[in-house]
Amino acid sequence: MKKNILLFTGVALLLFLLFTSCDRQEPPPGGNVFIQRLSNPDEALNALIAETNPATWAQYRDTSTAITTQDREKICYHIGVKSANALLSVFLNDYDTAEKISKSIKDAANKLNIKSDSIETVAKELVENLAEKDEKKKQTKVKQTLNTLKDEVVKALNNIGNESEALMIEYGAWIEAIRQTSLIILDNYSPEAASALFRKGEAEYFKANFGSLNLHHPSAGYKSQLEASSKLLELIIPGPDKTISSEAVKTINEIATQVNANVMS
Amino acid sequence: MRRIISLVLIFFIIALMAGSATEQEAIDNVISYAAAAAAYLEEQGYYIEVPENAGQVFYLEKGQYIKIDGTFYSGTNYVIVASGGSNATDIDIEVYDEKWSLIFDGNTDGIDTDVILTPGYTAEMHVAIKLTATKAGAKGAYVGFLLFYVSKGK
Repeated sequence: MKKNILLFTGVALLLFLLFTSCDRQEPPPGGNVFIQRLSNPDEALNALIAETNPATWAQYRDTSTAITTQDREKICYHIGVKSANALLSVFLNDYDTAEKISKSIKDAANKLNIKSDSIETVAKELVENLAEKDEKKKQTKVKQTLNTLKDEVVKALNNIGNESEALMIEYGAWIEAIRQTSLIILDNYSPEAASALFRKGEAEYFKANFGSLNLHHPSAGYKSQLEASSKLLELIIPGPDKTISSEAVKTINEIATQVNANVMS
Repeated sequence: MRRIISLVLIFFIIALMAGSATEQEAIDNVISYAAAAAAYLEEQGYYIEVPENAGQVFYLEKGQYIKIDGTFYSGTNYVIVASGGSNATDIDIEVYDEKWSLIFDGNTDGIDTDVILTPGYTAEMHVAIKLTATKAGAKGAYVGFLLFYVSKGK
C-alpha cells in the first residue's frame, strides 16, 4: 500500500512539474521595450489630402507591374515600391491598376518561393473588397488589404529567416512613399504639406538595419542604402523653424528617385 | 490516502492558477478589449482598419513600459488599445510629442486602456504603455497592445 502511495505521489509530482513548466512560460528578462513603428504609404497621402487635390496625383504614380529581375532582394524592393503605387491608385479611384499591381506583388511572392496560406487568403479578400458597393468602405478596405498583402510577404520572409529581404520590401515602400509625397509637396509647397516628410525615426531604423547588414555582410548595395538613409535622415528632420524647406524637399526627392533607379535597374 | 489525494488535487489547482498568468492570456485580453473598442467605434460610424502584425505582447516588470515611436499623420485616426495578463492590475498609456512633452495622460484604473490619436498636425510622437501595478507578490506581467486605424464613414 505504502509503495502504491509513493508511486502515485511521484507520478502526481511529475505531472505537476510537467504541467507547470509547459503552461507557465518562463518570461524573458524584463526591460523597457522600444518599437519603431513604420508608417504605411497611405498615411502620408491622407495627410496631403487637406493640402492638395488628389485628382492631380496620377502624374506621381508608377503604374508598371512587371518585375523582371531574378535578384531576390531586388524583387523584394520592387514589391515595396509597387505596394506604394497600388495605394496611390486607390486614392485616384483607379482600382483596376491597384488590382493589376497587387497581382504582380502576389506573383513576385511566388517567385520568392514563399509558402503562405495567409498571402492566398489576403489575395481572395482583396477580390471581395474590390466588389464592395459602399465607395468609402471600399477605399478603406482595399487600402487595408494592400497593406496586409505587403505585410504578409514581409512576415513570411521573416519567418524563414530572410530578414534582409523583408527589410528590402519595407525599404522599397518607404522610399517610394517618400518619392511620391516629396513630388506632391514640391508642386504644392507649404510648410504644413512638407510635414508629411517628418520621418526621423524611420530613417534611423533603416540606417541602423542597413548599417548592421553592411557590417556583417558588406556589399555595395547595403553600403549604398546606408548612405541614402543617412542622407535622408539629415534632411527629414524639421529645421529650427519646425519646417522642411522646398529646397530640402527637392533634394529628398532626388535621393529617393536615385535609390529607385539604383535598385530597380 | 485521502489526504494524499487532496494534496495532489491542491497541487493541480495551484498549477492551473499559475498557468493562467501567461502570455496567451494577455493576448486574449488585448484581442477581446480591442474587439469591444472596435465594435463601439463601428457603432459610431467609423470604419476599422487593422494592419497585419499590429499587436505585440511583452513581459514587463512593474514600472517598465513599451515605447512606440513613429510619425503620426494628420488625416489619420490611430487607436491604441492595451491590456495584460492576470498578474497586471494597472496599465496606463501616455503620449508625448517629439520633444517629450506629455500630450495625453491616460491614467486610468485597471488593465484595459486605450487612446484615440487624431493628430492636428503631422509629427513624430512617442507612445508609452506602462505596467503601473501588479498583483501582490508578482514582479511583472505580460502586457500587450494593438494599434489600428479608424476613418469616419459617409
